[in-house]
Amino acid sequence: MAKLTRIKKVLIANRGEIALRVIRACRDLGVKTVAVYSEADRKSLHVREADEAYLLGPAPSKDSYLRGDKIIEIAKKAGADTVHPGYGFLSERANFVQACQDAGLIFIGPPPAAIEAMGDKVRAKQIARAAGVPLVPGIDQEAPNWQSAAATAERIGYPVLIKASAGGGGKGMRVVRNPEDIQSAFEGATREATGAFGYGGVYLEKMLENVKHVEIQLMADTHGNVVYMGERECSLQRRNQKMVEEAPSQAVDEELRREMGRVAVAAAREVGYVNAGTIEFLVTQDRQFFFMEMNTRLQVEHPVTELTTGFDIVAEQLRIADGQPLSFSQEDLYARGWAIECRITAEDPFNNFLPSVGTVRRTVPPTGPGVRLDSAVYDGYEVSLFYDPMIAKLITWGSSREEAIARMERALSEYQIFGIHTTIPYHQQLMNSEPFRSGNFYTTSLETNPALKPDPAARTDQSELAAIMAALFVERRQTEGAAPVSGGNGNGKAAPEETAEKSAWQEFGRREMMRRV
Amino acid sequence: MLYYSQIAGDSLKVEIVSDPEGATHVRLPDGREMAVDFQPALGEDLFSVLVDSQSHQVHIEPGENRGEYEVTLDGQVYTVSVETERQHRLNSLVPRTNLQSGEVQVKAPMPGLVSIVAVEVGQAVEQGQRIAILEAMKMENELRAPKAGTVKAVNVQAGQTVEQNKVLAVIE
Repeated sequence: MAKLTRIKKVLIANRGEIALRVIRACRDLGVKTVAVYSEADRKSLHVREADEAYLLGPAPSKDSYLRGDKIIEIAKKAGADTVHPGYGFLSERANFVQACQDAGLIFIGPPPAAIEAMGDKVRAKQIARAAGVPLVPGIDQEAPNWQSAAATAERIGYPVLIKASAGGGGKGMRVVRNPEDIQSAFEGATREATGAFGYGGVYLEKMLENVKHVEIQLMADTHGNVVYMGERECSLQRRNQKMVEEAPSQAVDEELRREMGRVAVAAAREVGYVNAGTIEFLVTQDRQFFFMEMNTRLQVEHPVTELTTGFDIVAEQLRIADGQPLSFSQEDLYARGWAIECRITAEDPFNNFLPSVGTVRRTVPPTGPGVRLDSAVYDGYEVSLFYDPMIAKLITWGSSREEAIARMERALSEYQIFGIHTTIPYHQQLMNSEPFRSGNFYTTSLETNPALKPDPAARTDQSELAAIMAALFVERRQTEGAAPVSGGNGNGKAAPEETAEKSAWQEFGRREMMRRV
Repeated sequence: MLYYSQIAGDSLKVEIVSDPEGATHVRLPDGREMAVDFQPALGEDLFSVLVDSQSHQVHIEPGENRGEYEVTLDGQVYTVSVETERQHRLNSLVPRTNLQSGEVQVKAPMPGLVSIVAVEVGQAVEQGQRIAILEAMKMENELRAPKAGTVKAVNVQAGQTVEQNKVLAVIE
């Protein structure tokens, strides 16, 4: 494989697991890395694993990871020639891409014009239509008033969705099932959109029920080659946040895959797309598909595509940005086996997904056949309120879907994170659920299907065992003379000093052993 | 030695005995007896425990209050208070006011903005009923009553910013 010629040093304008993921790809390609970090992230793995690291500013994103000006300044100072934005933060901000290019930096991603075009929902639909991508029945112009919205709704048929043009994350969105509700829904959506985005424009589309979210991974180089890397199934979502993804999708057969791939490639060409991108579709039970939106960046769930196609998407992003042609052609791309990803977040699934802040005391990461863990967690990791609660992605591969699920169940039970609540037990429940196993789930299922809701009763109560363990713990501390008899040592959490001292070397040895394994 | 473990209101008398060969046994009040091998696996907080050869991995740390331990088993956290026999005898002489009153505090699990307070003092609440909504991490988080009872105190108003662990309401 050809070596990179232009890219020598990459600044990663992100944090957490994705920053680490990009650093690893850079390492594989022999490229130097520059990390940036906020005051809250000084000890993060991305800082420790990078060749160089520079402080951006205080913990809030707007003072750190969203400071494009400062990031470019650091890139110049550190002698980086390239910027990788990861996902979120600055990854889909056309003005940041432009600023990088104006500063003489290579931006790993699409040209600013493509980001801008696909970021505007109405324009994105116009582009999709021009490329022959099927659209959900509706209008791709904004509805100027509720009367016009009512007329459109009458034409396409209820139920309809009112969506904000500038929107995202469900803000400014309304479901309307009856004509008498359209006025208040229109006004509510406009108000909410104005509040959230500073722009109140809304449009209408037909609401499709019992649909799957299926997306196509695209790769385009600067030589005019565009390929699709198959699909990902991402229907299991909560509050518009994906929880579980897989590749391939049970909703897609070979013929549908080719057709979705073909139109996705056409849309990418239409907008002059370069680098990795994803087009999201809704797929109905009778295998019709409709354009939803394009994500002009690397996706969180890219690993499932990597495991099934065998190609490294992030490394390919670097090669494309370096000016090289794609290292694979469409014929090289087919899904082998099955891959599943569970997003592990610091939330308590049995307490209404309340964010769980605090310190990760210990982690026992899963390993073994077919397991990949993309994580930013380490012993002592602080979960803060400043950033996204996703702390790790657990991905498994199997030769069949059944095997991938069995391996995910095994990996989830091996995966221990102590000190905070995580969604691991909920994922265990999902993997074991009838709807997930049968593939009988849709974009709304996590919110509506009782079998997919967190069920604390489904867990075994081990109170008695816990009571015994605690007594054994106290007994050990008493007989070893390691700590005060009654526990509760003031700050509550720190390990007793004597014990820590006594076992420090022993523990060091154990950690060394674990690292070697 | 004899220990009294309390977990979610239930009490369990745990007798730990070592036989001459150095093996440890646990005896429970109902007569069950099991062989245990309790070994530190990492530091003094992660243990490998064999209970009648059944293998468990457990994480244990002192909790917030004296005599309290956070025990994590298969991803579930149990708060256990443990008394030695001596402490148990001493404590049984002192009337326990706080434990018996059955008050439960609803605390802010994180710093945030209280957007809604859904109850008032004197109101009867069901277990799981909404007490307040706390906005943090760009999300609305619903705080619910951990048990049924009467609202004894409400310490916040809608629109107020609170620190982590602030007691928002008390249910009796």
